Amino acid sequence: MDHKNLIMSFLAFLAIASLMTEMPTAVYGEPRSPGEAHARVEAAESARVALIERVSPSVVCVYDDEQSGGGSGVLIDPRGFGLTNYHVVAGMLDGRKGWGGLSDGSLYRLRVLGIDPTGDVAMFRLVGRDSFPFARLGDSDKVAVGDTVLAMGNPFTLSEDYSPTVTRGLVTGVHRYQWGIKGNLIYSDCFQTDASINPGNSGGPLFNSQGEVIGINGRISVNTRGRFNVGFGYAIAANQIKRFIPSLRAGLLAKHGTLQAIAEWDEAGATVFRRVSRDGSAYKAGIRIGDRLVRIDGFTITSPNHFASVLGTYPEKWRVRVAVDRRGSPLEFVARLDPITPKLSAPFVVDEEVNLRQVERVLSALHRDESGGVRSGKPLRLSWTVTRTHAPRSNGSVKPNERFKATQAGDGPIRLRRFYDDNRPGRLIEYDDRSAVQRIQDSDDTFDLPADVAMVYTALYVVQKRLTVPQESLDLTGVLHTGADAAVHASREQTAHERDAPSTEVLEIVEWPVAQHAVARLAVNVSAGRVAFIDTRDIPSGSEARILLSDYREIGGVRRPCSIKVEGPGFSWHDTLSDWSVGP
Amino acid sequence: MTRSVMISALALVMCGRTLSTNASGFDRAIDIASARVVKLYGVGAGMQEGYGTGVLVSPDGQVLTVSSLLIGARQILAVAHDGSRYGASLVHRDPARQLALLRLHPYDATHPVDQSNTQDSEAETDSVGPFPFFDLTVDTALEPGDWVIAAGNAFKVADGAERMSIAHGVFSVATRLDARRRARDFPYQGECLVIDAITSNPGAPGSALVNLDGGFLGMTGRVVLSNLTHTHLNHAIPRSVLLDFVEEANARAGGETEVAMVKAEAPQIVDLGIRLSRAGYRTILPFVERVRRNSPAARAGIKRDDLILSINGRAVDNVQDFDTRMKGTAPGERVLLVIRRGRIILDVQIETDYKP
Repeated sequence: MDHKNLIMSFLAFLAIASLMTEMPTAVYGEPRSPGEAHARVEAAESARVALIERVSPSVVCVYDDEQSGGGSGVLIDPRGFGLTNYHVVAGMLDGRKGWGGLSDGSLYRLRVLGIDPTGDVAMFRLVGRDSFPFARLGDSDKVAVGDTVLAMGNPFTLSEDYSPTVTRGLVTGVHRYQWGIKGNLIYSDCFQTDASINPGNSGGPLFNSQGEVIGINGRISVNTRGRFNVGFGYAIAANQIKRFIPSLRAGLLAKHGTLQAIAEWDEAGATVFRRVSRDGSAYKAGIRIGDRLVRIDGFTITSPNHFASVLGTYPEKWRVRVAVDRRGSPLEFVARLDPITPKLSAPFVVDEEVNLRQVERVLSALHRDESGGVRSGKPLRLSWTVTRTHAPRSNGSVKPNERFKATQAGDGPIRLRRFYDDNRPGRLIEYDDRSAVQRIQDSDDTFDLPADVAMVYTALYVVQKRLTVPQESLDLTGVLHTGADAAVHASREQTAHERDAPSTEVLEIVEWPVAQHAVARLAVNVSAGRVAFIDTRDIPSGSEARILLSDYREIGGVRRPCSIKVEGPGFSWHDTLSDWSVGP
Repeated sequence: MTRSVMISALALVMCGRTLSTNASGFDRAIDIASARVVKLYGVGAGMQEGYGTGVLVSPDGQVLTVSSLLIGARQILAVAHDGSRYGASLVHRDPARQLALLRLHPYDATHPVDQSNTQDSEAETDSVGPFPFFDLTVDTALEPGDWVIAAGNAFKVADGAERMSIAHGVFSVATRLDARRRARDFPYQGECLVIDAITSNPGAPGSALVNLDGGFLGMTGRVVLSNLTHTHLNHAIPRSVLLDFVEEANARAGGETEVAMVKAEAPQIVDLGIRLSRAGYRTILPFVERVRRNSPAARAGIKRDDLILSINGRAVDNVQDFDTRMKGTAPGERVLLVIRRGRIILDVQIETDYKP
């Protein structure tokens, strides 16, 4: 090895190391000499300059179509997806068009995708380049008061060459709640900063000193002096935004969630539910008036304000775990949040083309093989054994275990034949994504299954069969990307340990019409390429079931779930799939 | 040899990474200051906010704040950093220095404490605390250019146990201010610490100002405008002035409180001693119709039939204008009029009085 090279690389290491160590200590700790103090200041300064140079290309000057006004934004993906404030694009919703200027000096066409008026966030996409510079979203739960931050954007639309204005400051408050305007633009659990944020900074990023986006700037407190900074700016936390990104990218009108319950202070200084709407998610989950609120997910609730603040960061249909105290006994519920419909001056129509792209992206994740490549699926002949154990019914009776042999040939339906202990064949269940029927013994007559059981089978067919055929032959009519859900709290049966495991994983939801009048919501873990669970709902009856898929194994070149838990209204079983055989 | 070089280089990088957090170095000062300020809630009126900030200066709950309408409330609510609630009563206030000293006592929402009873013997049993506090006798060195942190509840962003808002900046200079509060001159003539952290916001006066080590430097003062530049001044009353005030207040303990001053702060109407002509159609020109004898206007030489053109450099087109402009002046303040008398334009300076 070349000796000189080694020395050089050592020096480079040192340079980086010293920059890193000097940054936080630069402002305090006694320097030993004026020379050292000077060196520290210079090192801190050059680290800052390097950081700004690194992140500046991801900052967008957002202009409306006539380029008469604008705000800021930040790219978070090399394909040009970016975040801004809803109030920046609110005036562009007619044509969904605008312009985005980058620090390379060029102006790109901007298309408005999804919007979140309640949380004041919107997503756009720039076009005109194969690959865009972008910034990463940081973990905003780790941000503390006193952290150094940089706000970047285009205040007062100052920039002529689209290079961003940079202001520096501290995080001066966390977990702030700032009331909305007519139900929209609520800054829940947001950051407060004294980095100067002014009109035009709206939608721009708040960076931490690692160059990660920890928030989107969008609001300031002003006094009688006019609309400019007096040291009080607010940024929407990145972790809240992450839960909405799937909806925003899919071009949807993102809705926040509500428990339809109001909590207030009680005489003892506890936060207590004072009103619980009978048709709301809190009531359905089991929460009652008078319950004292203890925790929502991992957050211990300290005030009614804190309750509103934490809850305001979740999307509709999201599952939250609510811990309460009812007359001294601790209780825990999982509630699926009801939607808050934002008030808009004109209805927001989902762009089907944009949405379909996201459906395809999510589904293509399921088509990746172990090496990450796209599998070329060929319809196979499969057979396997199903061992079904039933959960005890409410009256305490337990249905005995059942054993099925399943077969699936080509594109045809799945046939599930029940076998008795003495290997005598019993009834046959036959299902595809449209219908599920059963035959008694060798009768030619078919009998319908109960609608809520039928929809479970048809939903399973979607996963077991349809998703394993090549994507281009999929019929995606009526399939919609509908946003995100939590990876945790999937089941009543999950242990406390499983639920408490920290998870920032966001599942993406694809809604699929199944059976006659039912829909299946496939919750997909895109990075792992798996369906985590399926929610089914029979539209006429409103009955719901949940299917949890796990124990994925490679079978016939496809990863298939070998453990399927079904929780329906009045039925609950667990299938274990084994003895797979794959034929041509 | 080369290997050990590599290893030490890597060790440095890793060490650098673990140290490289987002921390700015202000954390300690923020923690210290946040725990030693309280959120105050009282009455507000018009442009005067009903909320503010105070600094804990004793373990048993003495709180320093600025003298404002807020502390004239029948009951003042104080919320400590942990969200605990207290009542606060006025111990002493000084309109000259614009300071007030409060004492915390247990909070009772059902029986508001009447301020006139705060000095009775019951106060002895109402002890609260101990609180974290700033010891005003400890001097902290301060040089221009030093970092400073102010912790307070501007815009009442924080509620309950939520942490105070922070402003950061550097100390610029210690000086006397030529400033005013709205139309009135700022009465405090002592030394002020001028800082570039923005603290002239509603609710922010009464914030604790500390250095990087959390050493107490002073308390941010009321929102004032420079008489010279008409810009907001971010300033703090130095620790030594606060110490004098608290010692004075404690020396008078048991003596009379200056609750009466609350009334003295009620808005007063400036009286020049002139009556304007009310005759006319649509636009009533501000002609002087009568000048009261021995009034400020008479002393300044204003005469009947003078036409008023401007007040304090701002044009006056009609009688309504005149009334509006006069509302922007304060008793005791100098008012500069430009008048037309016949074909002559005159500058007249009037020393105003309180309206009898």
